[in-house]
Amino acid sequence: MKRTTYWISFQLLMAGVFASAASADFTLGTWDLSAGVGLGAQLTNIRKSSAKWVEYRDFRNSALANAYLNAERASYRLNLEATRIGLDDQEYVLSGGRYGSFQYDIFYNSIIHNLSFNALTFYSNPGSDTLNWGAGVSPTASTTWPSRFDYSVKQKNFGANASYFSEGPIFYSIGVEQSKPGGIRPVGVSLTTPGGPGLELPEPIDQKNNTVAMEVGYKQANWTTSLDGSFSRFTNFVPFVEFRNPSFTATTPTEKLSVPPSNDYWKIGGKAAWNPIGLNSSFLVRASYAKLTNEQNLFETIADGTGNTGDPVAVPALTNAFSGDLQYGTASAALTSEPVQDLETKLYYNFSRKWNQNTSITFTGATPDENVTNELFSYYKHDLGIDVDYPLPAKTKLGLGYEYMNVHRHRIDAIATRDHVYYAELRNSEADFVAAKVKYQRLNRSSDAGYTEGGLEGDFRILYYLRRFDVTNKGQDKVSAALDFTLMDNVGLGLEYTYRLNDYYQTIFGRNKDRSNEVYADLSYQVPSFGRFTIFTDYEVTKYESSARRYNPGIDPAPSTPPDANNYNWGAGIENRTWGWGLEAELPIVENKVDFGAGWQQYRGKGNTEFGVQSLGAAPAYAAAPIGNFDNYLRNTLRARARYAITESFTATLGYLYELFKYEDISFDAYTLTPGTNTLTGAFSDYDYTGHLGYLVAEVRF
Amino acid sequence: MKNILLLLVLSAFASGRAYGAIERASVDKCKGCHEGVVNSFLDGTHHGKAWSKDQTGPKYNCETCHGNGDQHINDNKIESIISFSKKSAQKPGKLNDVCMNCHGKSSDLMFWSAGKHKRNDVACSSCHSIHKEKQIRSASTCFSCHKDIRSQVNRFSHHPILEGKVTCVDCHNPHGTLSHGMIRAETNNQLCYRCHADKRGPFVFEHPPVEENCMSCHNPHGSQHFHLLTQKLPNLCQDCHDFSRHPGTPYDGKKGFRGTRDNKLIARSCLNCHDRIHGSMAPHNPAFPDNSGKVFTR
Repeated sequence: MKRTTYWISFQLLMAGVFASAASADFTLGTWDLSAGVGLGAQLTNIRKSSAKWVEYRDFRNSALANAYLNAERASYRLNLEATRIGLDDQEYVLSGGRYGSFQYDIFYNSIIHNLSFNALTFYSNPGSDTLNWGAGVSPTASTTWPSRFDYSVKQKNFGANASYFSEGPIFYSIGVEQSKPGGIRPVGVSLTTPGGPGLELPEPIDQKNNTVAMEVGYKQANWTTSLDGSFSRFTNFVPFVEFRNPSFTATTPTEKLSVPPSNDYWKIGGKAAWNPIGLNSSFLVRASYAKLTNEQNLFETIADGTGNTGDPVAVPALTNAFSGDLQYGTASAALTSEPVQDLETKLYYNFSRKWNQNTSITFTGATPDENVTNELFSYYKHDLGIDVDYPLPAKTKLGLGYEYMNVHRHRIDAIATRDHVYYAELRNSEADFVAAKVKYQRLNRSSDAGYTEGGLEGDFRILYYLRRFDVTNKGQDKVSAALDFTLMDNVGLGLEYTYRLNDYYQTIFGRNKDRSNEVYADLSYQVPSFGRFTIFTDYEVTKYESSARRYNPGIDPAPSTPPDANNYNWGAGIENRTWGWGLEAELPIVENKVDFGAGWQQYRGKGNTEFGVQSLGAAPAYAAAPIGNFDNYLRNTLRARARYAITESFTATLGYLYELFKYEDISFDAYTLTPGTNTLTGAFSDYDYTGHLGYLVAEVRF
Repeated sequence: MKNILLLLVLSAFASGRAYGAIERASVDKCKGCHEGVVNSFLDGTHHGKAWSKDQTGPKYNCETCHGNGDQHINDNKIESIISFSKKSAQKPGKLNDVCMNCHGKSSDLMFWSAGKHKRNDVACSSCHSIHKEKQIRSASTCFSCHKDIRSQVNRFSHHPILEGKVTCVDCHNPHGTLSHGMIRAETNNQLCYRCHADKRGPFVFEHPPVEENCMSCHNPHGSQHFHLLTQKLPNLCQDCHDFSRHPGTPYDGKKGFRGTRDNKLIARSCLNCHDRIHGSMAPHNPAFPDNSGKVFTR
């Protein structure tokens, strides 16, 4: 099978200069050692301050430092690698072990996720879990807002793993890890009436997740088995966010926003494989059980919306003590075999179940009809199927398959669903220069809703006509084809096409259809003793067709109800296109002395929506305007790197990165902080940038 | 408990067994014609390093993997030896059997026979380089076949895969699992919960599609829409939620910041108010239901 490779990462591009030496450079006692240190600098220039430019990368003007150490003695090894030391995307790994016996690693890394820079809020203390504003500040006048801040989350991860896997029957492993995200993210809350004003505010993130995982296994000539277990404790150090609601007259923070709850998650599992057990067969099984728990008291008071005073009043609940208890059970089995020569089969079965024993809490209204009780969602799933492959003449392989999935869930709009999936596939490699594959797949899904038209009253009658795309009846057709050419020893061409149609054939309101066409191609050319060139392109278009009913409270939402200016059926047709292309070259200009690499990529996305509204006489009930800019974006990337090995132990690398990003969307076009119906802070409104990054690194090998 | 864990770890470090050694005389037979390959194998690969430096264990040579080479030496034909090159005469399954002889019993490879890669005739050597030290850059190796994923990870919103902070094998086991998509968990949600522990709950108010499958709303590889969403807001929400007033109202081209500034379309659309869409721990106030956990605004 032909393979082409791509430069995929700026990190990798920059880290390439720190590649470890293949052989030992010096010895220390009985250890053979090689080591290197890279020092340099990166300089950046960006037009407009955009978090998108540095979404996951630290591109500050800064020094660059990297180091590695490799040590070997007999079959023992020890490796230390430190990359981008001191930066927000730094990484350190110490690994080692003995070949064929054991290995271990200890690591630390940080992942930065910059969301939006230079946001502005009327709250005087973004980052705090008690948000208030001071004298002289008006939430409706952004000119008085005092606080600039960044939406950014930085996660620090550190941990260690060790495993033992000798030629003996026992193997085991253990791993521990701690992840600590911290920062500020934007969050939205409603302020007053249904569909009324909203408020964007900074939510502090201060969390920790500790995980320990173990596996113990036993292997024999024809079978292997293992038991595994893990425990994870997630701690949220922010109990809730208190904020002052600008729509209320209260002068202190009386509103509360819940945050993700702390929880304990433990899991045990086991798996086994018998291989072979006759007929060239393997029997594989896996089972697991997990339990997720937490204990948390709900707010004892909430803000009183009556008269918009915002004064704290007691939560009208029979209890405010919540005990979370979710359990997940799974069991899987697969039998792969060759019952007759060259006929390969796989029978499989998967079962999964979610039990929900959370506390059921009833919140009491003025009358019993207004009581609200939280619903406890649970499900179980059976999934079984068969795959068959059989060789035909002319190096052709026929694949056939069938899968049946039956799901029962505690969800009244789709109590049960049944999926039947059939597929046929042909693969051919008769010609030396091309491998071909074509596949057709059909899915039929039927779904049972738990209510009838007569059982629904008032505004809720819409539910009888509404079907949700994730669970409702549908038919799916999927066709895919792929050609993989090896035109010459050094030229490869890959082509792929996929068509997918989902037809939600019984849906009146909801998503009616979606379809996608995808085309992918790449061409690689290896010039002997000169270099490799790659060109690729992707194109995908996806269309969604949806229907809905706009209606006022108290008006029958039936689709046949005569339309007027406030009550009508309407539909939307959404089209999303994405396409990209790129060129890449890797040129070892002077072998082991000078090499050069460069790449260009362009990715674009474009979305638009057309609306169709039920007619009211000669004109539509509502004259909807199409949207031509729905998540439109453009990203151009140019990167280049030259490396010069001045001596065997001294290498210099010079690199450059250019990136242009443009974003256009009706939701952010002409963005203002206080539009009247929503009070915003600027989150995600700063995507556009033009960035340049240059770096120079000198590496010394010892 | 801590002592038991420590004991297990220490015993592993203390009881390593010898891995083996290269049988030089046999290797030299091949070196006559394949000197470059043999040298790079001995000096630069894990197999070569391990076997060449440990003289106490079993002996290995080229024929351990390539089979008896006598006929190949005589006729110089690729068909007379087990070759892992593109021109190999052996089927991928036969080539993989060679590797699985030693590696098949590891925990990661236990379910190889049930995986998609085995079924699609992917050979170990399609991804792994045996004769030459070559670090598998996980994503680029995978993209050479999974072109659709290459496209998705380059889109507007993506996990930091291109940036090297998340790799394909963090979520998938390319050597086979019994799960759909060869993911490293039994279900999609259990996989996502490993990193996104804040989404686990348990919540007082749950959002059923969230609890059943994260993929109903998110494409983990990348999306044209923010937060890895499969569709633009508010359309994604409206495909499931229609009710009186705002859930069923069309939000069209008249309603951006330049138009009537409807807060169901501007900025983050539905999330401007309903931010706790993954679940809420807030109580419900029947007297003031709009600022409540039940509708995910608190």
